[in-house]
Amino acid sequence: MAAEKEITASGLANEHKERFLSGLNAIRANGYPEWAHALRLDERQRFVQTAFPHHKQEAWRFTNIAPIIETPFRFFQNNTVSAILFEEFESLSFRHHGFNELVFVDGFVAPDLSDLSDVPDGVLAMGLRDALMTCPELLRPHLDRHLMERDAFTALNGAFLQDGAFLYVPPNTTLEKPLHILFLTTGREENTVQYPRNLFVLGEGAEATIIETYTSLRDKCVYFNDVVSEAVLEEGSRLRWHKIVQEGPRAHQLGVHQFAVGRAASLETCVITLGGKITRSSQTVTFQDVDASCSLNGLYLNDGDRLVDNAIFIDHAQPRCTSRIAFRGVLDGTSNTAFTGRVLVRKGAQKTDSNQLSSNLLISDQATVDAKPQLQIYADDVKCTHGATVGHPPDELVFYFRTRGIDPVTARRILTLGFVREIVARISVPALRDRLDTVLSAHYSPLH
Amino acid sequence: MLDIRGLHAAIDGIEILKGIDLRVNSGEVHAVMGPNGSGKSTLAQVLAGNDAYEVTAGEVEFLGRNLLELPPEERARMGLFLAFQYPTEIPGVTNAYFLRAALNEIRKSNQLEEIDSMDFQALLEDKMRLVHVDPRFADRPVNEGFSGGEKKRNEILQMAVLEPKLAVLDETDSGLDIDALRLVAEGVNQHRSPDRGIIVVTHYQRLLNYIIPDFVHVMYDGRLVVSGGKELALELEQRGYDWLRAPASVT
Repeated sequence: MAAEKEITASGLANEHKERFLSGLNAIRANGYPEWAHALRLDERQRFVQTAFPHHKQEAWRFTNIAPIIETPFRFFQNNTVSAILFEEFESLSFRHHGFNELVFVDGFVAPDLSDLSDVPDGVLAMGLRDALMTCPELLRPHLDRHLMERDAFTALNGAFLQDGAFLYVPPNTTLEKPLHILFLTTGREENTVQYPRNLFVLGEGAEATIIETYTSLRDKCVYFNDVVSEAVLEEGSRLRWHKIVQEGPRAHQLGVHQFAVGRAASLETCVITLGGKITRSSQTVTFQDVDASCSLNGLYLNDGDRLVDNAIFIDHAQPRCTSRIAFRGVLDGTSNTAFTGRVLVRKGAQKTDSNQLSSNLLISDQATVDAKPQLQIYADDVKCTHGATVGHPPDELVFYFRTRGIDPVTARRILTLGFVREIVARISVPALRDRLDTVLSAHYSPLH
Repeated sequence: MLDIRGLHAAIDGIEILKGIDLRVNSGEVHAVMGPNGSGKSTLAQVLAGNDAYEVTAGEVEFLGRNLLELPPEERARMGLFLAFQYPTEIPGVTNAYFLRAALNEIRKSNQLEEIDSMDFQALLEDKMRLVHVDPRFADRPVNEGFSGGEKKRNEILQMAVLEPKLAVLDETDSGLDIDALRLVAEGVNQHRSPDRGIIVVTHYQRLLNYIIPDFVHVMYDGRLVVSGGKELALELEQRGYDWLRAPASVT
């Protein structure tokens, strides 16, 4: 009986897989270098041979992605992409703040809607497709070479390899103005899937700030963003990376972000999850050399029947590196939240300094959260601390508000606002910080 | 304005207040003194409406209304203010934001217009000057990183902004050095007015050199055992609280 069930399950899985792959043959990837074609074929093969993530795997225990697997998502072709006007997304743009901006519509770069006028000499910011055709030698050493977390979905992303964001910052060059990468889904078609593939390469001593925003122009549409990013930080470089997940309420995103951090390099990331039905953001930081540091901040607002999963893996493969993880969540409705902070300190990674804290504010008693710090320590001269809290705003705090005339419901909203603001306050890009603060205040603040 | 009659209160089944009678009229400053464990802070917390304490008997009338049946926020909106003995920190919420939210709730309930952020900023700056609080505190989270003295001064700032009709100051002087004490006292004295009442709960007589009370009451084992004028405070200073343990207590 059990055997029969298994066959049926994998049979079904194959059916789903075929459906996902059905858009592949129609792709024309002319102009791509041979190695890129080979990569796509390898990834296609990997997809066929790799089972979809399932709940028996530790990393997916609380993340049910059956709805993604079972929806007949179709790949959106570049030539069917809708033309849109700047006015339609003006409120999402950061152009007025002087940022450089690369706009993607339904997964493909829209040069006419982008603004890269303030990019310093030597810096390359363009769609991945353009990069593969004009400067493939810059991508070859890095594309798909650093990705550590691989599953059926990263393989699918590789199999389709079409477009995404490419940034190259030459050694000792600073990208002064942040680069805003806006991924817009128009939603004019239902059940579409996009495979943004991003690659960021920072040379020695280079500095850059990146903000990725994922959102849609139509609230009701069902779509799926299967995102894979790789970022390479060479010696002494510095990357501040932000991802704002504002997918529509019926949309899904699975994002895998790999950071390869070189000697004395510095990485700051911030993932803000405000939308999406099922979203997962997975960040892997690999310390490839000594004296480097990373600070990963995150905030998620979860409500309704949404699922938000944040997974982090820090590989202290080398000595004298520092890692900090600080994630906060506000959990309402019947939402489900998963958080994993896995830190591996390899043998020989002496003088590692690692700290993580996951704090969750429970607004509703029906919301669930699984927050798991996971420390694997194989070196002995290290400092590793971790904490995870889940709770309601304490009664004594609420009482303090009440004695000043503020009712308990309003008190909790203000306390929640304070709780989320502390993460936003750490963002070092004022325009982004202010915009998020405005969004959060509108959501929680009783004051105008 | 405040009439407490036969108030009994307990926490975790243990009776702390064993029959308090106290009357505070507008314009009066009452000091409630007593040794540790006498129930002074309990009285303050019960008046504010802390539901950790159970009122087991008695009545409290405030401005003609039954105080005990009102939730804490309604008591505050009516004009009752408690300056906490141990003020809590509110991470992520600035003093300015917190006070504007509180002031607006109180104004709304009194059919007054809400104050906008510009006008409030001016008001707050004014009050901060009045009670000698560093203007930079406005944008700092409430009580976060404040020393004990700064927290107490912040309570007085809140009082100055909210202008309560009855302020209950719970051991506002504890942990303060003489300079901080003077500043706090100045803030309280600024607040004194014929239409306002103040209850100062204190262990030491010192504060009462600066905030001169009209009446002094001594609490011992959950009861107000002695009442008098301001001289009573000096007497306690000299004699201490031990004489209260004598079986023949004066009421």
